[in-house]
Amino acid sequence: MIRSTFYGFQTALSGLKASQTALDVVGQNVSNTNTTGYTRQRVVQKSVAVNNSAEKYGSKTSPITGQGTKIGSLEQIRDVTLDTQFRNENASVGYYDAELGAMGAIESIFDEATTSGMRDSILGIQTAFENLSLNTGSDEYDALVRSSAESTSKLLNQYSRQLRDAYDAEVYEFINGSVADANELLNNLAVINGTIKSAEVSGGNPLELYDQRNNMLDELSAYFDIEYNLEQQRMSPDIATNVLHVYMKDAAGGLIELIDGEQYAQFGVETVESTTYFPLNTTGGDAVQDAEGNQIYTYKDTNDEYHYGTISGDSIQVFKEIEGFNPAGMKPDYENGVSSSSDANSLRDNYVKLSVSTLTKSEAMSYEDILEEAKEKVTVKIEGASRYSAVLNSNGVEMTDSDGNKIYARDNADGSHSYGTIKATNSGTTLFTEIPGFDATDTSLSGTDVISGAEKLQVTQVDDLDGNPLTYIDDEGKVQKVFTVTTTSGKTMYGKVSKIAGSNAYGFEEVSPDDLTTVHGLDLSEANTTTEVYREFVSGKSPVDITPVYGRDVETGKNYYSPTAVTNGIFKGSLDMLNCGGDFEAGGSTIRGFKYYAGALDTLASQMATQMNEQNRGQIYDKDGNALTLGKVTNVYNRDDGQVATDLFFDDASGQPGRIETDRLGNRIFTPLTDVEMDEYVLPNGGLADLETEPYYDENPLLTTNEGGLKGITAGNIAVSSEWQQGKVKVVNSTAFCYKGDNIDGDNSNTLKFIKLFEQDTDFNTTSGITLFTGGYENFLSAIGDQSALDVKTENTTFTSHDTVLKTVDNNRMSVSGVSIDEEAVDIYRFQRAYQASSRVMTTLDECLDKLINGTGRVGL
Amino acid sequence: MFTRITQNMVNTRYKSTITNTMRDVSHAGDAVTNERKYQNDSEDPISATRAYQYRRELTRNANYTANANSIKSLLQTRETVAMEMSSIARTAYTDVLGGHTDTSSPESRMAYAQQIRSLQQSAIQSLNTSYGDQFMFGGTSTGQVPFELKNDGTVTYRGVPVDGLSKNQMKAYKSYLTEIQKDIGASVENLSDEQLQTKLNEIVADGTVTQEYADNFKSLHDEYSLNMKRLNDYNSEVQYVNLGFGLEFNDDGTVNSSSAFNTCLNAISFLGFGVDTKGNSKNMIQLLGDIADGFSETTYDQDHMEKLAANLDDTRTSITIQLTQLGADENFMDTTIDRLGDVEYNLTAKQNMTEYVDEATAITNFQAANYAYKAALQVGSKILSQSFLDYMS
Repeated sequence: MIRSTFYGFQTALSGLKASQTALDVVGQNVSNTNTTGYTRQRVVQKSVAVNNSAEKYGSKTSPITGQGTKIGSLEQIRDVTLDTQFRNENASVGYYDAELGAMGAIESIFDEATTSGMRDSILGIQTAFENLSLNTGSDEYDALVRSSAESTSKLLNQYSRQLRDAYDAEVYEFINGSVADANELLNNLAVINGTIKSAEVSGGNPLELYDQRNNMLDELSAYFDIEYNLEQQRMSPDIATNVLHVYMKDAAGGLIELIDGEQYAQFGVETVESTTYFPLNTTGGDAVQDAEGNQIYTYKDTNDEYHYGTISGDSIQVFKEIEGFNPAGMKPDYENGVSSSSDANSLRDNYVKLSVSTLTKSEAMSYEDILEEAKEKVTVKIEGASRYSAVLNSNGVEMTDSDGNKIYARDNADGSHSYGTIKATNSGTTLFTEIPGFDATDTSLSGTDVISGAEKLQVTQVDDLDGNPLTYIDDEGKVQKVFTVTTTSGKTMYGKVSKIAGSNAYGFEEVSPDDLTTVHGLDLSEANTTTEVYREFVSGKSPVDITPVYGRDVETGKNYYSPTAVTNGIFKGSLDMLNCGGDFEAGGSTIRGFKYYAGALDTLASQMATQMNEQNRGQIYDKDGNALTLGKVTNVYNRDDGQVATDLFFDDASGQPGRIETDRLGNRIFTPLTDVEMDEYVLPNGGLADLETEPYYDENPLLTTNEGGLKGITAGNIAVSSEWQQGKVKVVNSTAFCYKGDNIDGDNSNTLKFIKLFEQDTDFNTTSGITLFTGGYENFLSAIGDQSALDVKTENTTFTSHDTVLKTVDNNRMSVSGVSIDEEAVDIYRFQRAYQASSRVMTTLDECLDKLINGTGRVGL
Repeated sequence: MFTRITQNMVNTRYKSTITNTMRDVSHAGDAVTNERKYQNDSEDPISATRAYQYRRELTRNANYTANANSIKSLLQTRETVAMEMSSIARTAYTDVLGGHTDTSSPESRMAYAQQIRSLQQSAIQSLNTSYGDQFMFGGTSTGQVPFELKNDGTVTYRGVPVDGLSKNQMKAYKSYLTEIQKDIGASVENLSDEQLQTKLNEIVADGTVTQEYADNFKSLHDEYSLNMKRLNDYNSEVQYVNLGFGLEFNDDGTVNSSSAFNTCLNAISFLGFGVDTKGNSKNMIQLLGDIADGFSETTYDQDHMEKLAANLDDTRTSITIQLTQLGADENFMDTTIDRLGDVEYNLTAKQNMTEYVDEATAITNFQAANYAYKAALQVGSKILSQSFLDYMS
């Protein structure tokens, strides 16, 4: 086969081109040496076979050389296994990092290595009691005990507050840091997927975009355990694109899809705050219950408004409000507040819930799109608001139909009247049924019998095609369900339903301008859930402001995937620290988060206060110095004011009624009532006096809640009782009887028992009865601190080991994918030489042709 | 497997190394400046736990030491007063003996009487001294003077006549008692309250005595019984102080006596109280008054005075016993204070070993860390700048 004259030039040219491109790649690599996540690239160079060289009838004897070289493709050098290893390890590092961050904050509260704090303060109370035991009867030493107790109370308040602040900071960081970052990453991943798709569809090979996407996946893997895959989608026989799917692993082994190509999900966070709910009693003291026998509770919100409702649920107690509840003749029982805790500052019953939305497209849908999508499912039932008047016959008597129902006239928009009856439906709606062809001659309208209450609109919730409630975000940033309503004049509106301020009624607020009334012709036959609302029209807002949030329903949680537990990563670390309470959690948990430490601190405060108060109870004697056990009389009234008497007791042994007085010597003396005194009281109607079976304790509270309560004392609310502060109560140094003429100031028998309280072994139990620790108060506090220090150390060790592995994997990754300046420098030589060689081939060919053209066939010239 | 090493890998590792060595330097520096082994509990939770334990024990030990020192001073003050009592009793006793042999003139007897009265006064004043703002001889009654001398010559202790009744009441009670015991034919002491009432009713019924007579006797008798009960109660009072013997309580709520130190001292326990079978006082202060009265009488009753002197001698013995006890207690307190001092020394040593570093070790560690840091810096300047590019021509 004959070789064409200029054949070799093209071959050499291909060599030049290839070297040039290879040098460009070297340039790209070198310039991205320090770019995070950059994967080194290399050219895949291929030799070019001669055209038709595989021809069936090609020459066997004179082989034709190839036609040079070409750049087959640009490749990234990356090891997928290392990516997976890195992302798995990154989730663990994220988990321990998040836990360590929170635990560090907790430890710093309890750490008194270099300071003098609460441990010294508690020991200080014991020292004060020791001093008092040598100086009983001295007010100064009593004041010393009080001031040391006060300093411990204040420190407990402060530690509790610091714990709460650290918790709040962690919640803030979780919502505005971790979750917001993860949401942004998801959004960006969806966007970059779109860009990659466009590039791939048009035949491109967007290596740098892959790097960016890989980088985002690396970042995302710190938040939770991720799984991902690329699904090939063929766009045409020639063109395919790879759709990225990203999932979050949940504890149940399931996968929650977060990214499907350009669609992405978003995380939502809900915080449940603790509140104290007080059971409601009648003024007679009986519990108030709803029809099902559930206790009704009340609480005061931050606007000082009372709410009434029931409480249900196990680990998370949910308060369900009863609308329009009338609390007349009832009173809250402030002694027995439940739930949450009686301490508004306590975080023990707070919860942080994470949820995931369903997938949505990365670009915002228009309001019209939503309505378009919703169209087929929207169903509306209409009963418009109108003015009705009773119809009178010629004699002025109200007319009825054959069943005795009153006949009403409805005011129509055009000034005419329609006649019919009004009946209540099962749902409580009043429906007007027109009587066709009603003869209205000789009738008049009462004019006084206007039924304004009939002005109810039936509003229908709008669902999307999947049957999920359609929602949008209103101008206050709240998620609202879309409702639709059609007025009597036939106008259909879309909007939200919300409570009308200052009433129990709901109002409808239109969110679309008038042109949305074009959404007509819907199937009105199948109403879904309907909600009655009172008519209240407020000016609407522009539909462009409405950003759709698919299936997001804060009220029911419907259509929201709420993972029971994230398996790993920063999310799990933060959620564990925020939600797990160790032994304080219902069912127990091995993870000790904020709640555990708050609970432990509360236990310490409550136990210390309770034991000290019990130790400070007085003994009541008869006038001869015999110790008595008394009970309280509960249902006898004062003759003077008719109020229940609070000062009446009975002697358990003799049953005699009497009062307690303090005599000149400080003895608490029970004096039976004389006949004259008996007349100061009135027994309940025909009944006997009610006697409490529990013995009456002569309380001299030393430590109470900051509102003076003896129950529900926590670290956040513990305080020295106002009685002690005002000197009305002192440490009871002795409960012995003091005889006339004597003085027993020096009797310290009870003071020593206080000292013993600080040295003896006490069980510190959780509310569910698990013993956390056995020892003294200060020992328990030390144990809490030691626990936090140990937790930090353990987590630190685990964190370090995961971090080391992560660094090793990352190092391996860099070893495979990173740019080596040395290698690139060598490549510069390599490709430069290749370029030079190809050029030399070209000049050689040129010289050959020169010989051929200018040096041959010149015979005779 | 062949491992590629890129410049970036070297950079990253170097950054991590230099940060770590820098942190070591900072840490070692902290140890030098504040001499602590650990700055946070989590650095060494075990030591932290121990350290808090030692701190707690040290605080408690300091409490016990303060208590022991305070009690020691109290005991010393008490001892001084008790010695004074002993000397007063001796002087008075000598006077009584002197009075026996020198009773010719009422004037000289009056001189004895006056001297003994002044001894009585000074004894009361000494016993009523307070330690701090607490009276130290009134048992648990620390807030009011224990002894009072009434106008009729009755000595009261914590509001109760030391004989059980005031002088006049006692005189009346004695005469009632002789009659009544004769009438009922039994000793009142051996009868319960109910039995006595029955007997009294009987002798009223048979006309032996009038109702009024019986009632008067009964009311005096009741008061005497109650007062004696109170005095006996005082005598068995306790008042403990915690000296770190492992404070324990019995089931009835009283302190286990071996777990704390009883500091209670009722003066009547060594000065005596109540009356003997003849109705003579057994209390030293009352006796001084009674002896003075005896000297003041126009007729000197030697027999009676001898009995009073014998009772006075008895109280002198019990004061001596009390003095011995106080001395023993003081010794015990000294031993306790020494022991607590040893404990403090040991605890402080342990605490220092747990929490603090040896200065030399700390400085050596710091120097070593500093050296490592400098070495790392040197290496950095060598490895980071070089690449093949530097040698390309």
